[in-house]
Amino acid sequence: MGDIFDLQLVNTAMRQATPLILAALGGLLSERVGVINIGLEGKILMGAFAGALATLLTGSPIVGLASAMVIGAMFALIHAVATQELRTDHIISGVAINLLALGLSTYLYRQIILPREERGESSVVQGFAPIRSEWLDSLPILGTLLRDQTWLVLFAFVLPFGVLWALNRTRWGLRVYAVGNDSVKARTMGVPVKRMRYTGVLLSGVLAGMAGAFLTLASADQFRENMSAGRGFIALAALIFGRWHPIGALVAAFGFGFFEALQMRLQGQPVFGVQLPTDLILMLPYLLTVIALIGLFGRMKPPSDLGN
Amino acid sequence: MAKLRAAMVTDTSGIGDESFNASAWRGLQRAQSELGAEVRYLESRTAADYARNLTALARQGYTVVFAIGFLMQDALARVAPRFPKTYFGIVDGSAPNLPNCVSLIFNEQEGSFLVGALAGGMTRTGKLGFVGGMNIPLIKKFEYGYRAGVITIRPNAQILAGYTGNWDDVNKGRELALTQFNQGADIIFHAAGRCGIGVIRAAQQKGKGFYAIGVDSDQDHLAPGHVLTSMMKRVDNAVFDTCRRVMQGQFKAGTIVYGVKERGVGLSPMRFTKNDVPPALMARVRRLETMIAQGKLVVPFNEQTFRAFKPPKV
Repeated sequence: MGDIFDLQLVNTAMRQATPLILAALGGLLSERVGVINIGLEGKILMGAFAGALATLLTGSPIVGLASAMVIGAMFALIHAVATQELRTDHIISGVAINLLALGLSTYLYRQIILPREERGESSVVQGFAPIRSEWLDSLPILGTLLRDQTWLVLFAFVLPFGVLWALNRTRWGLRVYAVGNDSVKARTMGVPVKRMRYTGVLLSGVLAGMAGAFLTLASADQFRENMSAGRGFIALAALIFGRWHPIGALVAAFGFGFFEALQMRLQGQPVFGVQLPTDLILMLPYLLTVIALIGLFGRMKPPSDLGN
Repeated sequence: MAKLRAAMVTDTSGIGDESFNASAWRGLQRAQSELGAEVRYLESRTAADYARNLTALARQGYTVVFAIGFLMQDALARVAPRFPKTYFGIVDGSAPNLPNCVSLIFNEQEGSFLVGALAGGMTRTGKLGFVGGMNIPLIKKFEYGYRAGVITIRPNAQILAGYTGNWDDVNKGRELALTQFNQGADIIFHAAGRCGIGVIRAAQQKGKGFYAIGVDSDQDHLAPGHVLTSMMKRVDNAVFDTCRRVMQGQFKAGTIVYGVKERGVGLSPMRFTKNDVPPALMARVRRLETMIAQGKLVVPFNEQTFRAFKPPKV
């Protein structure tokens, strides 16, 4: 079993979990102010596209990341206006955003990036380089965990604690709590409900855009159609399993990343001399995440004012 | 001669799949430029669109309509009988037994065998990787053809075979490839659609001594020098040939198989890696290619035929 479980496995798991953590935290900030957000998937995809395109054009992954966050926020703004001003159903608006993002990113990719490739130019971008430091490599455990990781991975693992602090220790956090629990009461207490909701939804777009940028600027280094591949929905599941709590979301997202990394290793490696069937292994991350989280977190309770 | 009107329906992965849909569309574009055909494609968003799209194109009076992918088999069987004057071709699937339908099948295992033989001769670690998309019989043809090729040149090689479970997830393809590289593989063949882009990226990032092998189209240029070769599946040729036959009034119903012999599958020209391969190894691979073309070597296409397979001496 020693060649199945080792630190390299955790190293892979951290990269798998990064976009999920970022997007799950985004979803959390939106749902904690009462706005259901199933449009994470679309915002990740648009972020991935914008990040790749901006980096391709400017050569700077920083500009790429910023563009991804702005595009994510713009798509989130659509969701905010639709749900807060036009009173559209939150689910319907989210689905519309996912469809729009898939169509738009595919169309623009074929119009702008694919022709470059057909001319023989590469569509691979110069993304964020992994952190390299001899001092870091020499550390026990941490050295292996952080090998070949980009700063975005570190950021994703620290951010949940920042969000937790902001929710528990700031005035803004208290207001988020008030709005999410009972927006009517919050309004009578003088909390600017609409402004809180706009902020939460826009932040969710920023973080989902960042998750997308991770895919194109710190992993694949290029955009391809539909490359978000359902991560927005997994992130949403992580958020729910983590009971709308930042650390819960972190644990759930990491759990999924871990089982995903494990699954990849088991496909090429017999366990006690037996090669498990591929389809069973592929199911593993989903199955084990669900089981582990039910056991770990028990009953789930969404913010009471969610969806109103 | 009347103007040829040719159209195709993609499966849900669409024209930008860097795989057989894209290749089929290249075939139609060639029909446009060389035969003066009017061409068009419709993409399917869900499986429910297959029959709808096929019907729409037949109604619009296209002379020949292609269904791309075995998933469209049932839809074609429902639509084709209603349009006896339209010709239908299905790639990778079996066509209904009608005089206006042809099924275009590929012997992917033969081309995969050749890239496997090449990889078996090139590996220094004795471990080789395979990354598939969905775990379905079509992709098993790639896997077992590859396995057979590898052990023909290197009988004691170990093969790590993994599947991503989808066709889109570039990052997952990359992580699966990195996992296999970490487990000791130094060459990985992919048959995983867009996930394979990630496999190629992983080989590029690992650098010298590591290779990916592309699939369907010539993917060598995606990371010059890091893609050993590509297992080309000439869906474009099959589509173009069918268009030409229709135009010349020589349409043939039934099944047309494209293997090594028909130049339907095979190695890419290897523009960037030719000099990495020892001439003696290349000569052995070419001998195997000839044996397959002459029918002297039958390549396995699933687990059962693979077990019964006896590697030839070359």
